Amino acid sequence: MLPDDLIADLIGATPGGLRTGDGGYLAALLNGAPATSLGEATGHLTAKWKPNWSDHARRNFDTDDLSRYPIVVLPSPAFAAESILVDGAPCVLVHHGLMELIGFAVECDLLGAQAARSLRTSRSGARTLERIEALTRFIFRSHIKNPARLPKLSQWLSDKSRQGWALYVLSAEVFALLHEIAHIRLGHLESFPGPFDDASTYWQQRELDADALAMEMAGRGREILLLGAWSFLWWFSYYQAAEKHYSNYYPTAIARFESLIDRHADRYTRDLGEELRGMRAIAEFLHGGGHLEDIDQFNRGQLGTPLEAQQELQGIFHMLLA
Amino acid sequence: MTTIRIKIRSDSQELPKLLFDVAAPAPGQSFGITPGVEVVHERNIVRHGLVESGIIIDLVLKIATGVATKVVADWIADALKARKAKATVQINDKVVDSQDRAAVSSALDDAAG
Repeated sequence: MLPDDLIADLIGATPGGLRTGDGGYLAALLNGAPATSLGEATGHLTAKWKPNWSDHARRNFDTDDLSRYPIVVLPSPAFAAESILVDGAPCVLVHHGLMELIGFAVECDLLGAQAARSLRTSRSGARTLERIEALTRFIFRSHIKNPARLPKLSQWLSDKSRQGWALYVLSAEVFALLHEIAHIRLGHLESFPGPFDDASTYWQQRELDADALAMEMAGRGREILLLGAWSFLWWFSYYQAAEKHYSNYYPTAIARFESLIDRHADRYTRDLGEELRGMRAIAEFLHGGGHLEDIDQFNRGQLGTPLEAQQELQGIFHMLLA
Repeated sequence: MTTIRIKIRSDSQELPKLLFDVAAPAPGQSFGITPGVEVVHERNIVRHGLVESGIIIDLVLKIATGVATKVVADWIADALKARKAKATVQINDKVVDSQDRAAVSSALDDAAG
């Protein structure tokens, strides 16, 4: 368990964290549950999430790597994980926003796929699907600072999608965790040459190396982990575009995914063409300023307020999937 | 004797080495900076991630009566200057640039009351 003052340090430095951003995050997150300290809140969250990850890793990747390092879930809205050394002792931190944002995004992806099956290929159906995607991105983006308030849409998931949701979300989260453990194993926390902006290529290569080792750690389950990486990196690419100040020294999400494919291409049996096409589509969308168009639509009121967008999205799913 | 807690954040992992000439100081390890100034290293955290990367060191300063806080400000600024490490010093809720000697000294004076 991390001490309160350390948690406050870690959260306070987080954009959108308790001290610097939306002070209501913790309250919304706990939803009235009794927590008298940051340590207790962190303990609640860690106890809720960690067993699922360990179980998923054991079953699908035949690895106990997640049990070898302390893992702590911080009550912070960031879509991020990180590795730290506290007086030389390693620990993996997961910001709670990662689970909220990826959970919502995968839910919408799967509901969109269900909706596509019911709409077939009509022109109005295509417009509806485009609208679902735009609303999803808009809601995702408008909740980056407070993802605990994202709408819950699981009521419309079919049983099959529900199983898919658990697989994709847990694999995405475990990918993020194994990536951080890889940083620790590769000694990246011990050799820290200095400011990021002095050696961005060096920093970017370290991220790609950590991704590659994370895949190795998944053993025979690496194809499942790749699905998780895909879910994580798809939405991370959108987050990265929205939070531009992170992007200078980090490789882009698509660069990370392509690097994973390049390094392991001969070891996969699954056809990854569809996934890569999807990644490239969103990269082109971002490079072409698609997200700026979204913001512009928001400014012009075309997507309404975040609450109106939620209501519209829920209305579409209700109409198509109830 | 005045006791003041401070926190130094830097993007250089060499911070402990620059301050104490020790790469990995132990919790509670004490260092004499100049006559009348002792620094106790409480904890250091290395962060490596998307949100923030760098190092945070928690220290307790023990300053003998009559010793000017400028001595401490000079110690920090001089230690970091050579490697051009970017760093901030937090004293209570005030955060100042490590190279701004006057601001560090003033914040220490405020904390000392």
